[in-house]
Amino acid sequence: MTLKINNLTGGYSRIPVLKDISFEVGDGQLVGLIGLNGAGKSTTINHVIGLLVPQKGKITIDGNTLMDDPQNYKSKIAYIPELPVLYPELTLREHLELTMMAYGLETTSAWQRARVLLQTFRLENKLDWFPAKFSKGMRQKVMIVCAFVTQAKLYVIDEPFLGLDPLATRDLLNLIAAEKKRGAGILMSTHVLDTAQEYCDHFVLLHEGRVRAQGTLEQLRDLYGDLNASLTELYLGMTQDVNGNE
Amino acid sequence: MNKIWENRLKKYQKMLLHYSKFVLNDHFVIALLFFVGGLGLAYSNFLQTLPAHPFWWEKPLVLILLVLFLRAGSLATLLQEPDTVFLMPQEHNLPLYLKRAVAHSVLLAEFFQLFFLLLLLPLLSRGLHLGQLAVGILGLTQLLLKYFEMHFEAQSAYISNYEHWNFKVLRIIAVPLIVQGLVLYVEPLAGFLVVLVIVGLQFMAAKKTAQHYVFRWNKMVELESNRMMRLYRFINLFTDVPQVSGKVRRLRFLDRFLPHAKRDGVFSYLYWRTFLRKSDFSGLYLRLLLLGSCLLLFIPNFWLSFVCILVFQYLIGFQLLPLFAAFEDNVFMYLYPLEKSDQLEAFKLVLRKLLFGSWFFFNLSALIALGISWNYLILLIASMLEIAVFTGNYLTKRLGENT
Repeated sequence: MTLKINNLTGGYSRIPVLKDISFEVGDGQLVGLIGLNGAGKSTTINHVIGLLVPQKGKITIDGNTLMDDPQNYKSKIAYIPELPVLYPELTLREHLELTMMAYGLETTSAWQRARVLLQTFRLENKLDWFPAKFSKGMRQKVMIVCAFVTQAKLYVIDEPFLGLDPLATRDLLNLIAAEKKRGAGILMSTHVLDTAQEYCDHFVLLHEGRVRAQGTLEQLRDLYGDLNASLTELYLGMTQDVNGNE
Repeated sequence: MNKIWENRLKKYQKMLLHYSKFVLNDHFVIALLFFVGGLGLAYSNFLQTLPAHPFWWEKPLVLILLVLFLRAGSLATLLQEPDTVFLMPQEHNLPLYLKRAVAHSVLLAEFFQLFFLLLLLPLLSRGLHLGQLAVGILGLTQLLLKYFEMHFEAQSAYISNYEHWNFKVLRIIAVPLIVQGLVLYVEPLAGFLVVLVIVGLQFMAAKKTAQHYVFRWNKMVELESNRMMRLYRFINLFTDVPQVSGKVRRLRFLDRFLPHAKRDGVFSYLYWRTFLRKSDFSGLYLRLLLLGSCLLLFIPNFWLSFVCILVFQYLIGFQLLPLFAAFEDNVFMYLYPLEKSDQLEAFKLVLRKLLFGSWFFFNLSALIALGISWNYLILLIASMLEIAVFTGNYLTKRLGENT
């Protein structure tokens, strides 16, 4: 198992946003984290990448928690934030170099991977530009390239499709598929439910800080009692169901 | 639009008042008092020595001073970036807004001009032996010149040509030089009449511009934000201003001096690039280095040099401290598998190298001014010791707490 979250309770202040969340991301698995705005997707991700400390419960990657060995824990994660975060004073080439240094990658092979990635996302002639001045979609691509060059054990991807052109979306999905084959686990939060339904192996439906349901699409359909329902229908049905009970 | 202007002005003045607390702190005011007092004394002594017949350089000096003084006070439109979207539909009312802005700026600028003229008055009457009437005309001419300049600048809101360098030369140098030249060398009244005619023509031309040209939003917003940045940067010398985040420039020719990518070098890689490319840091370093070196060149007194070197080195080190936390707000600094303690070590090393650079230039200036002696050796050692302490225990204590 790559990522394991056990009974996680946490949030930004004393009042927890997340209540008793448990799920797993296995090797070679793509897990979709689905939820409305404010359901706790980003909070969960912030806990996983170690920006927040659990109030209760435990998060482990390959059996390690953040507290046990922060360097080891962090070297296994590659993160693509929802909004691109770039250094205003570094060029694209230097962003890649920095990533390689930070993760301690072997440079020759890392650059080979980087070249392929840059070509895929049509950035190969922009190496000496400042990416902080790119458009939203281009900056997002830079984040993707920097993340995938690391060949991390676990990818944490926050809402990747917004701002990407259709070609880049396809390329990203291909990349994710390739990394799955390599054995990496991927946790992806998204609102684009059609795409999620098509590509994710496993779903975690968050609602108001709790796991409303989880499993494969078939399992979710069983749970809901409609064997032909789409993920959108399932999701809307389940969240409104909860609202109705309250 | 009137309402918007009034609100903005109120907010702007409140901001200035808020920051003036920090700028006019006790230390600074005392230092300023001494400085102004000393300068005033020197000025009055200088006036005493002026002979009945003016030196040949007095008139050119006054002319240059007058033209330079005109640079004081700039057009404050208080436009903001979102205005290009939100105020767009109000564009037809914009001349009204601009009028208020120009009126306010002109009033303020003329006040400055009066102040400068008052300072210049003794030189005019004692040095150049101008009569009261001539001085009065010269003063009026100066005020009209400032009025002309501000209006010209405001017109560039509509007419892009005015941005061109030859128009700038005309506005900033040529017209003031010619007009005040006429006043000083030929006949005061002639200069006054010329500027009066210019302002009149300008007044007539201005009536048409708003109907014939489109308001240049982006340019005006850029100009205003540049002005605000200058203001913030000045205030930033005294206290932290959130808006100050300097420009980033590539400066490709410096690339070869930058550290290459290698293991364990993440922080020095980042620090050197941030330092050189972000004008906040490199500009500050360069300014203090130049200022300190120049000052030291002209200080013949050992103890004064001693204090000056120590103070300037401390200032450079202290002002560069924010570089330590320059990328604190980047999530990836927390995600990369890095040792936090490496950061402090890397920063110390970077700062030490920078301070050695300043150490070299400061002491070189002092050597030129003081000549070689045993005292000079004390200077070398004391300033070296300061660097060692500053980048050693001091930094560990100051920055170590936060990590």
